[in-house]
Amino acid sequence: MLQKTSPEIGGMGHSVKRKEDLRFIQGKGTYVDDVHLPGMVYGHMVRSPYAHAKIGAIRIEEAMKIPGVLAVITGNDLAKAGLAWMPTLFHDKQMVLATGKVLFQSQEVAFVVAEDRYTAADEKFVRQVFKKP
Amino acid sequence: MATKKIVRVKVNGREREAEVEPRLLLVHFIRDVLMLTGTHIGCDTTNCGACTVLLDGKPIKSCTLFAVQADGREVRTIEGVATNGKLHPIQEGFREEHGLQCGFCTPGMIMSACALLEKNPHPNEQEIRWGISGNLCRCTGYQNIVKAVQYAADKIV
Repeated sequence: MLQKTSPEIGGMGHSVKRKEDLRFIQGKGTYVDDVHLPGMVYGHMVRSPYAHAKIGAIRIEEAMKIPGVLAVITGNDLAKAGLAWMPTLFHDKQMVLATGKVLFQSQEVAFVVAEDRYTAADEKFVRQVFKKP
Repeated sequence: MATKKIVRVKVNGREREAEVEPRLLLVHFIRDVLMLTGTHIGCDTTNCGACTVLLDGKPIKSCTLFAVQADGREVRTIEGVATNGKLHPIQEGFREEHGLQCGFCTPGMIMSACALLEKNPHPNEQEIRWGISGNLCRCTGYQNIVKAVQYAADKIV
């Protein structure tokens, strides 16, 4: 017959209660999304609703006037730092944030930083970015 | 931005009131306004069920409801499942039957299971699987989750 070792000397052949379960089953875990730090702000990626479209003038000054908006980063900003096109693992280069025009639907166009997630994800930014298709 | 609205919701037996934007989702109301972070956001698209809470006893995905729609109603979250520090049989079941690994889907699973057992205290396996079919577990622990609900059903009698 299979001899079980005692839990004290390793617990081979025994099921062991997990220490972390107690907090997880009561909603007391701390996942990354649960962490609130002082001064924490929210970022949101503005993505293209169109598969092929010219990017209109992104009126950053106007976007910055929206209460709670802290920064709007565009492809042009990255281009100034030489970061708009970055190498990939496939030895080609791809746009980080689109400059000029977008080439596929949901392509990243701008990054908005705001004091709360609703301001950052506001539909207004999409309207500011695109001309009519 | 639309004007803010006052929302009064009874959450886990306690009256809560806050002034919120009409576009605020119920799950963000629960997590960010009431700071009850046990309710999770998994997909934001009503697929995964991590944000499941009970609204007037019915399981709903709180990322699909606005906070203002819960005005005057009663919400129960994972934080309100244990009573006076005593685990609910479903919670015990998840622990005993190893019904979780990372635990992210667990609060939603438990809320769905609560609603199922309140309606049908003795479900068969098929009914349990149907009852949690709106909740996804990416640790693929469905087998043990079903066992956990069965454990609770046997215990509740």
